[in-house]
Amino acid sequence: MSVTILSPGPLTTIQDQGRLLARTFGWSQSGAMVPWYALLANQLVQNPLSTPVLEFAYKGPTLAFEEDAIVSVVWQEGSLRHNKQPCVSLQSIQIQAGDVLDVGVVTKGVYGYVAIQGLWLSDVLYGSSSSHTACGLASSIGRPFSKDEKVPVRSTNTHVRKVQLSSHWVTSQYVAPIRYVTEGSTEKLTSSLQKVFQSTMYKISASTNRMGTRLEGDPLWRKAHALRTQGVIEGSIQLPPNGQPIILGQDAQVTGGYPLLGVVASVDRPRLAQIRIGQSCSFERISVTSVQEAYREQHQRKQMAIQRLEGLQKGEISL
Amino acid sequence: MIRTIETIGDRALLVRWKSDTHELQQINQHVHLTYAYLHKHPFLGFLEANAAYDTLLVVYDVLSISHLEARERLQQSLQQMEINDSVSRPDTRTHRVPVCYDEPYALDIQDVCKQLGISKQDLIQLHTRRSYPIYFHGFLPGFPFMGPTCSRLHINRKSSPRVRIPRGSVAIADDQTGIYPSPSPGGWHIIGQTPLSLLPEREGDPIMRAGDIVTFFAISAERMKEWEASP
Repeated sequence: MSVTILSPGPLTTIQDQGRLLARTFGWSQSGAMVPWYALLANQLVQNPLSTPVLEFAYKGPTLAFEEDAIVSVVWQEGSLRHNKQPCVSLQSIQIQAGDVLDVGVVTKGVYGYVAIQGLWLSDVLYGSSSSHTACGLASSIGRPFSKDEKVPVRSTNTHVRKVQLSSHWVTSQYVAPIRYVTEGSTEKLTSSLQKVFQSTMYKISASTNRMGTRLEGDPLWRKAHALRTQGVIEGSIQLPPNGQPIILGQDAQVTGGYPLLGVVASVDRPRLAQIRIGQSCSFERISVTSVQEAYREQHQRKQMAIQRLEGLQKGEISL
Repeated sequence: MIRTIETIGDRALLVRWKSDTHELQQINQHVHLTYAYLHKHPFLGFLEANAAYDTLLVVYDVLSISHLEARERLQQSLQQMEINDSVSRPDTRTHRVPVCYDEPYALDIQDVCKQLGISKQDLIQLHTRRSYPIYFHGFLPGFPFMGPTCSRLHINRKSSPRVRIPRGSVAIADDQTGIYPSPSPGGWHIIGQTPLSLLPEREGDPIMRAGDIVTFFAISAERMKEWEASP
């Protein structure tokens, strides 16, 4: 292993596109909080798109390389240094043996990703290398990286044509409230509660993490009633007794007993993940059909964008 | 048994069983049969499912089907399953789980015995004499919800949860019993600890599955230590 973490930052983990078929064993899907950034990072170094990447929140890791490597950093905005010199992200970076890459503070958004070209030898469980930091395993699946740890990758140095992406590749075009659907809501009878939820400006609480986004606002009071535990899905908006909603994240529980206000649209979950602690957001109710269409459209746009990037890397098209 | 299908968000459905005549345990067996059926005969767009007591969450691929199509196909699958009544889950396994009911492993055993008005020997006997189906895994990766326990073991959750429960802790709460697969906070009463690991260390390791049966047997603190030293 040729890459060492000199300092890990507050939460640097291995993520890929997440796991499937493990829900029945109590594992949520995990995977990158902003899957699009992870895909882009991999494509920039020409890794297969499902290759693991390093995910970090608010501040990235400092990496020391013992061998030549090709890496990329994808985030909305942040400060990057290569051998102490300022360096540009959203492109492939040629690393020489002995180099240090300091992935600094994320200045816009929350999550960022480092892709390293090569063969990843990270542990795999249920088809994924993604960390689920609450699972308690001793391997990289069960915990964030710590200082001086090796990144389980055998880096390669296969030439990649440098393509510089502009910021619009990583900026959401949609800036309206976070969309959610009320299908799945257990509070159907209290439409007044939904009204209050939609008209409240919420602050992202400091206890927000990969397991859940905690909202702070005027508490939503309701008549207490216990629910029998049932399966829940990422994006579910739980209403605990204190009246402050919790939105389930990638490492959330797979079952829950709190009443649900609804579920955040899949297309907007990465957008929610990028709202920083202390920043505000609001929510807007929308139909299932329209968010499913939005999801499909977005997927298509992203596929085309990846193809375009591939074309640029092959020199078939130019910017 | 009556089943309804609910839409949950934009990529899942929830099958809910309703019955006045069936015990929760029977309903839960139906949930597992349905889970097995859907995995054996997945409809186009089916991704995965997970059970709870009387519900089954079904996740589908939004890129291949809409929620209306998903509902329709799931409904069809449920009907086909009913016609084909030979559906069974042949691979239900029984797991014998060693438990040390002695302190310091059994953090809350004195308290529990006092609350329930039974001796430690009673508690061990009541907890080990039944076999428990795993209703589902939830709360944490690999945490099995099992039950029902004998009515003499029914106990409310702790009023203030523990901040850190050791890995392998065997616990009871309400009419259920469970095992903490990893260190975590928790509100159940700890009556013992198993040296077994419930989480797979690597791909393909055998583990408990929802619908499997669990029985507990008591081991001494010495045996527990030996087991921990050489698993």
